Amino acid sequence: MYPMLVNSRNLFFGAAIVLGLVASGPVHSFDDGAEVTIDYRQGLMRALGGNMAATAAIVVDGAPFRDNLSTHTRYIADATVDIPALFPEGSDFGETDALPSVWEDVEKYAELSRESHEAAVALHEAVEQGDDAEIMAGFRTLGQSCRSCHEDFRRRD
Amino acid sequence: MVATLLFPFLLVFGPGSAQSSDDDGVSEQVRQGEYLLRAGGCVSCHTEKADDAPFLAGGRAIESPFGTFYGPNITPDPETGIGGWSEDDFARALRHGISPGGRHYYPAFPYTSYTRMRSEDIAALWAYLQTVEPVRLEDRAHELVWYARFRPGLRVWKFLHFRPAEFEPRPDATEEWNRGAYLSGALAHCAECHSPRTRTGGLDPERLYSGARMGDGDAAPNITPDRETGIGRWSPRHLMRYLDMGMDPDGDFAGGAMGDVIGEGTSHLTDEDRRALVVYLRELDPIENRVPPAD
Repeated sequence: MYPMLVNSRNLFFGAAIVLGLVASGPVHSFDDGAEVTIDYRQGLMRALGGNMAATAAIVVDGAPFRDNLSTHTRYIADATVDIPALFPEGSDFGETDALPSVWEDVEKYAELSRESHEAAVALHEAVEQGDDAEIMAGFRTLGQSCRSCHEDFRRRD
Repeated sequence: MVATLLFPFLLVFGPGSAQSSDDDGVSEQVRQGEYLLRAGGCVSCHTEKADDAPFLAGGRAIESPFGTFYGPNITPDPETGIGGWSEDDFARALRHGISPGGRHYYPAFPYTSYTRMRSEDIAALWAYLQTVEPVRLEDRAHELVWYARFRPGLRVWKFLHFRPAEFEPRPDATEEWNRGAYLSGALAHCAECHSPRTRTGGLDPERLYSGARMGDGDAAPNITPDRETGIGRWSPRHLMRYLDMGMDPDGDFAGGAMGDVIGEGTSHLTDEDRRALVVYLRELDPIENRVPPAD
């Protein structure tokens, strides 16, 4: 049915290509994958920042977009579900501001990430309930959590 | 019985009649001292960076081009802290950068700024430090390059770069500006990180607040109101929020040394004091200076 494959020369080249893919494939896709991962997490972090800035404008300064508040806080809660997953092994090179401590102190990083998510969920719940004092306190706690993680795990340039 | 035993003790150590104290027994002076400790950014260097680190017992590493300094223990422990000091010793350390034993301090301890503190503020800070839990913890020795280990050489450094003097308010400026100048120049010591230094390690007086690369490799940005390289595009509201919560206009949060300065220092200030700092910084002369990239 596939006479070409029976040809031993073609078989040889075919095997060589397959082997070549096996040998070079992981390295090639690994690099690309890591770069794409870094792009993605930086975009996500910027989006978190944008939503935090928008939240602050509404909550702290009274920008007249109160109806949008839960959109912002829901995004923050959803996007922080698993921050360590954005930092897989091997994504610690090139255009990243992540410090080596992200991969060296995995437990602490996971703990702080979890705290951030919990703070984000609490803020979103406060927004859903409409309690201004809780919202303000929740925003402050979340900000503190962002800061404490950036203190130890992000290079500032 | 207990009262009888306590009576002489209270005579010696009880609150003086001149000091007002609140219901919880903490004098106004001690409360003020605690506030000044925050305003002075003392905690960031004098407390190790760990969740369970003993408060003010030292150990924090401070990287510099001359090596690594370790913040000393300033709890009132008599053996390893400042328990054996007098108030005059303390004032001399802050005002003149000299230890009780007569040694010159390295300017990693920013007495170059603290020298401007008002005497009553030094007294309040001292009063507060007496109330801190004493912790027995030996200071860690600094790890410095050979030419920086010769302490008497600091006399020359001080001759070049240090002028001890209490803060003098500018009579032609507003009270708020003067408060900001005092907070920044005498307490928060912003210029110590945010200014380029000369080759001998002194602050470059022509380029104060225009940003520098710090010993740990992080950038301390230009905080003069230059629109391109400084904080000229930040509104007072942005600056206030940054000092309070660490959030910049993009919604990003401070990290590194500044995250710590905010967490341990400026976030504890009153809104009035943060506003005074902002007023002062925004009225600095704008200096165009982009912090050079890390090596």
